Amino acid sequence: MSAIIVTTRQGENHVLEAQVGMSVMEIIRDAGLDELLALCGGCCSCATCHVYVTDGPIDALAGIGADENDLLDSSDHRDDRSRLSCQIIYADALAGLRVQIAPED
Amino acid sequence: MSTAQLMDIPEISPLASREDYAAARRRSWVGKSARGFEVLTHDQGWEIMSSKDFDIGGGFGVVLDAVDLTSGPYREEWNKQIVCHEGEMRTKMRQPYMRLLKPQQVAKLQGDVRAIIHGILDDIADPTDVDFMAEIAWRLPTQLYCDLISAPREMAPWIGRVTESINPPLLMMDKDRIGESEAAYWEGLAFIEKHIDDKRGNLGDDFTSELIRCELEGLISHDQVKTLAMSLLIASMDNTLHQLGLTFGTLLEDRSRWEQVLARPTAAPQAAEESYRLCPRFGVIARHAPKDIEINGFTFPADSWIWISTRSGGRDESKFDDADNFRMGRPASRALMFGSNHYSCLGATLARLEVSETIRIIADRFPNIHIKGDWRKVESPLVTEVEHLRVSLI
Repeated sequence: MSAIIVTTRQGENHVLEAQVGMSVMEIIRDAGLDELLALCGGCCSCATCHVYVTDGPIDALAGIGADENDLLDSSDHRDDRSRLSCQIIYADALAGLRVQIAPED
Repeated sequence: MSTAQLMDIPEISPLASREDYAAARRRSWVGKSARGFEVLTHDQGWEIMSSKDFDIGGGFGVVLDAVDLTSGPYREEWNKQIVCHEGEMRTKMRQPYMRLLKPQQVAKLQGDVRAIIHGILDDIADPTDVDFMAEIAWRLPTQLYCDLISAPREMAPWIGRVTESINPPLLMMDKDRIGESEAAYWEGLAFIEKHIDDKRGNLGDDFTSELIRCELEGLISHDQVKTLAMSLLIASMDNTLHQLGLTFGTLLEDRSRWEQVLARPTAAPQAAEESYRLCPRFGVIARHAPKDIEINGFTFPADSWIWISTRSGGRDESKFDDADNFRMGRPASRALMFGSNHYSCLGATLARLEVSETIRIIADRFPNIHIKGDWRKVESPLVTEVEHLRVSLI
């Protein structure tokens, strides 16, 4: 299944088709879920695409980069599940990944 | 730096053509000009602007010196501004705005920004003949500024006139307009002083009240409240509105670009980033070497100026495939224009919100928007201004 499961702030679950090479931010935004602002277009400059990775093939995720780590620090809602969705590039190994859109700061 | 190193790098004008930049990049990532060194490639530019080894050599003061604004009360006022400070003082003065303009805070302005854009578009008298700059670009940041400081939106035209007169003459290095710049500064300062006094007795949910709260918390001084409020008046509007014009000129001058936006309207932020790459408001980001600093095998000598060319770096073929063409879906890359580190643009996220929401809403309401005639822009060694951009929305 080339899909990820996204939970909105209201708790709705959406199964979204995922294309290899796209970021999770793009997959969510292109599905019309506009809770995710992603103001910088995905260049890791704004932290407005904050999600929690809650389940699925978490071990297949690439590690957090220094810039992503710094930006996540600016969120009041950071926890150990936090990622910037623009920095998660979908690959087959991530099929079934579950993410939840983080609350507004 | 050795003589051999200097001989090896190309001469390049701060106002070089696209072709001249491309030819220089084929020879080297760094060039030399009358004002110092010009960094021509993206990644080296990013590396230098992100390095804490470089400073800004007094910052905006170098521009003020260049337009012969070297002393007197107006220069003294500018010397208080964030852009003229380095080190701890700069960091301290940035803190209130880092709090107010952090991305998560700016995100909350999305609804307000959308409402302003819709209102602007609703007010357009003749959608077949629109002066994009006067009727759209000038109105968004000035109305938003009014909202941010809780001033009536009816003040927006006055705010626009004042801010347009203060900063652009300096950025365009137009010595004939320095008197206009100074007069507008004092006019703006008189407004800000009264506005702050009024707010002190009635704190609310706005930027001015937040600055006063920062003073009450001991973060900034009484005088710095005024200086920082002036910073917002000086710097939050003209750069955004010119970038709005540059973005729309870039998107509309070739219909296939606008078609890409229409095909993926949710990707408006990426369209905006691509326009910053091809046509940035800021043509350079300046750095100063306080000591000999080696980068990529080249040594910048102590006390030299390094000008990171966003105009060249954005079209760097070693970084971007098919660099001269607008293409959505490129691997994301940080825009050089907003700077980096403790000298980065504090209003970058707000500007991004304004530009991307304008793209999104116009694409939705007026997909057939097109340019009427040619559009014109004028480049100074520092910035690019839009001189003429007329569109039909339908």
